[in-house]
Amino acid sequence: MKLSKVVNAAIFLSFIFFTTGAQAKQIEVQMKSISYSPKLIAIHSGDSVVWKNVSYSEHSASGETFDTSSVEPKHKSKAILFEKPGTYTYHCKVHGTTMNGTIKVESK
Amino acid sequence: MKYRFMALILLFSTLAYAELKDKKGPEPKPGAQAAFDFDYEFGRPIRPDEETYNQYRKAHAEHAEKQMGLSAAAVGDGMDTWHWWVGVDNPGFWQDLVNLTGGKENATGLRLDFLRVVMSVPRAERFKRLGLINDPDTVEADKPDQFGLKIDRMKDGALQWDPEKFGYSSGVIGLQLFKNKDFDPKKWNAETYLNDAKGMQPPYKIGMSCVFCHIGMNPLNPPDNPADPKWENLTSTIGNQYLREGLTFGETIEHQSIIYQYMATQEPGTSETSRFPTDSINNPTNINSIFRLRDRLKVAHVEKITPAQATLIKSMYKNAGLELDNIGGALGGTEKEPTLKVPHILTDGSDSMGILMASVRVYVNEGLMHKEWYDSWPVNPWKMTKSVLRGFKPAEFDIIEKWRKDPNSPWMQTERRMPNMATFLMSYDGFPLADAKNGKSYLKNNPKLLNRGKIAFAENCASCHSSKSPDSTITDPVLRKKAWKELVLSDDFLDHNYLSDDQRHAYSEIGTNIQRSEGTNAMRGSTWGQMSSQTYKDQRKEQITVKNLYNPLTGTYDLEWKGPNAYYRTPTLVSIWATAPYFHNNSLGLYNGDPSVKGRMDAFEDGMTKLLTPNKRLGVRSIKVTSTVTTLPDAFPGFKAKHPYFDEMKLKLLEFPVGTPVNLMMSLNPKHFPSLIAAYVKGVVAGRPEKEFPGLVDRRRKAGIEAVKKKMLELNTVPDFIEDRGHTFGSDLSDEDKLALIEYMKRF
Ligand SMILES: [Cu+2]
Repeated sequence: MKLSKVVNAAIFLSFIFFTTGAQAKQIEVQMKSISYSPKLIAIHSGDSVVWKNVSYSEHSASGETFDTSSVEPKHKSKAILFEKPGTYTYHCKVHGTTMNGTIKVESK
Repeated sequence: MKYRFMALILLFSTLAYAELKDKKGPEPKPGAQAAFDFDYEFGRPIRPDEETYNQYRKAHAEHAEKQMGLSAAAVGDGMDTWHWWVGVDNPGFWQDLVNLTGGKENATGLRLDFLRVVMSVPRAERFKRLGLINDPDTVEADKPDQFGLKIDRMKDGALQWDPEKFGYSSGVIGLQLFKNKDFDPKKWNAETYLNDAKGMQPPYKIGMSCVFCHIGMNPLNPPDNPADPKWENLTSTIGNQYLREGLTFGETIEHQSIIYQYMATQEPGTSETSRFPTDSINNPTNINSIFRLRDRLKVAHVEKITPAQATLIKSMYKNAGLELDNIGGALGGTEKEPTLKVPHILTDGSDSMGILMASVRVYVNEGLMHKEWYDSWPVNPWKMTKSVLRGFKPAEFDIIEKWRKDPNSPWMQTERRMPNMATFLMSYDGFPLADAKNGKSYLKNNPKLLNRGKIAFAENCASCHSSKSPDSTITDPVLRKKAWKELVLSDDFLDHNYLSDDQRHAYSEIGTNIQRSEGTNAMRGSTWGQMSSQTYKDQRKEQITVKNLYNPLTGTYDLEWKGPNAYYRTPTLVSIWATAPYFHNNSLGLYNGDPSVKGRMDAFEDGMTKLLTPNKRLGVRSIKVTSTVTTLPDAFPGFKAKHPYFDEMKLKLLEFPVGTPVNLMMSLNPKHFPSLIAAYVKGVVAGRPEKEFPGLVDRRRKAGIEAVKKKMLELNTVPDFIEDRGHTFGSDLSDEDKLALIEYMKRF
């Protein structure tokens, strides 16, 4: 329940944020013990995403078209640029699909 | 009378299962979505100086690659399987058992409920009371979780795998938590569940993996506090010699219940693998150490299998990606008369279809494909009526025709994980005493003494307890004896020696307690019937008479018993200093529950002394007996109400005094219970008409019970009560030779 509220808020905020016509942005997603936060984000094509590991074990964010490779605790991943609109699901290579997230990329 | 007999069959045969109703345990459909998702609550963060499983795994895998040339990746993957794989669906098995035995009306008190165990037995007491090993990657929960459950928590950062596949640690190594897809928070109440679990689904199901039984304290580096081991204090394949499997299930039962007595007298470090698919013999067997598997495979034996089994093996090897001639079970012979070259995995030599088959089979024993497995049980508590109607006959777990058809069945998935697990199992050598903390202080540096010990070993032990042997062309007894001596005296005799011929030897030759060898689960038509070789089955065709067995009712050695000849395969002596007590049932020698080097050496000295000097053994005192006056639990109030005559009969058949052999009751086929009732009635009326029974029963109940005990002995599946008997090889040696032999064996 709580989580979905957070997710909804994140979608809502990012929606407002992007519809105000901002420049290409870099969005940060946190890697927690066994989850991504937010789990679901909406961005615009041209934006990029960086994952910050705030937990105590390594994680990755690995999708079909992108892979951060392993991110150590207290480290950030390289930025991944999303140009093509679409829905990108990804998961952690260490923790499997239990630790999963989604990025919705909308055209500008 | 007939309906009452039938009713009693039900009563007795459900004792171990505690419930009468025919019902199917709830099970989620594969792929069902969780109706309710939630976050696992971690404990405190891992500290930089703490070793995690991941590091333990990495260190071991790298060591195995460096020392043994095994692939580190394969060893690591195999270790994950060994540690955390629950055969996909075994959490459903253990949940079925919770829902079966967790009802309030279960007056046997038997609770097959691991969640209760991990919550009710404090972390600090688990090892001492039950031999359970605390997971170093977990800490005690400081408060109940969101569901009111106080379960140990994984240290934050320790989870390095997909918890959907391998679970979260429950705090006990080998018991893994899995989110329960059937959990409904609206129906959940922790307190209600723990008192009366029936019908309720908890947020987590608990699954069992191999390490639950197989991990143990590292003999070379035991923990200061066994309740708080670090990974460096553990080793994954030695076998948990301290596990109290019976008490883990039965600790909370009233002591005057025969079920408690049965569970409490189970030897530490044993597993009763024929408890669920029962062979009607109370015959727990020791959890074997797994050392020098590659050397063991060098003495693998060619055994006959059936053409259908050969087809099965080919299909299994294909699924697992193994060559037909892989060393774990090379296929040979002809199409009509196929063979497999196999090690003998289990104590009784029944596991004889190669490593792949042996390994997957174990997962069924832990609950893999349990719904299908139940139907092979002689007593299926979910289908009691059917069990009664077929006279408690078992059936085969059918992998030839049925359970391998779906390529994604838990069996098939597990099969594919086994080759790497086998590689992992090959990565363990022994544990030399000289390398243990203070180990050297137990070793006498006396070459003369050692030489004497070696000769004693060559002449009394080596012909079975060695995987190396003199050239088979030397057949002359005198020359062969000489060759053995030379071999044992050679400097490298112990190197790469599995210290066992891995052969089956008839109990008539060994003389040890016959109950385990007489297990029938791997015979045709029984649960493991498709998973044992034809050679194993053929070897048991001969019927023999065992004479001079101890009669616990008279105290004389005059019992005779007829049955199939049966076998024990030679156990390894690798690191025998660390694996006491001895024999297939862990009954020989002191059990002190102490994993320190001193504790192990005390047990070793005691066990070896008793081995070589049989009159120092417990003998008659090793019989499992009741510790208090024991009665049948007042199990089924509802049942009684339906059958008022039951009360009238005053059938306290089991009001046995202190010291009554537990196996009088626990090694009986339920089909015999009508005969017991008949004996009871006969004993009470003593020649008078049976209709006088109600008037006589009050004052003649004792005579009735005596008659029942006699009947129980007569009908006992395998009436061999003395647990620590037999294997008296070496007992004729002089005291000096015995001491020298014991000194030499410390080096194994
Ligand atoms: Cu992760």
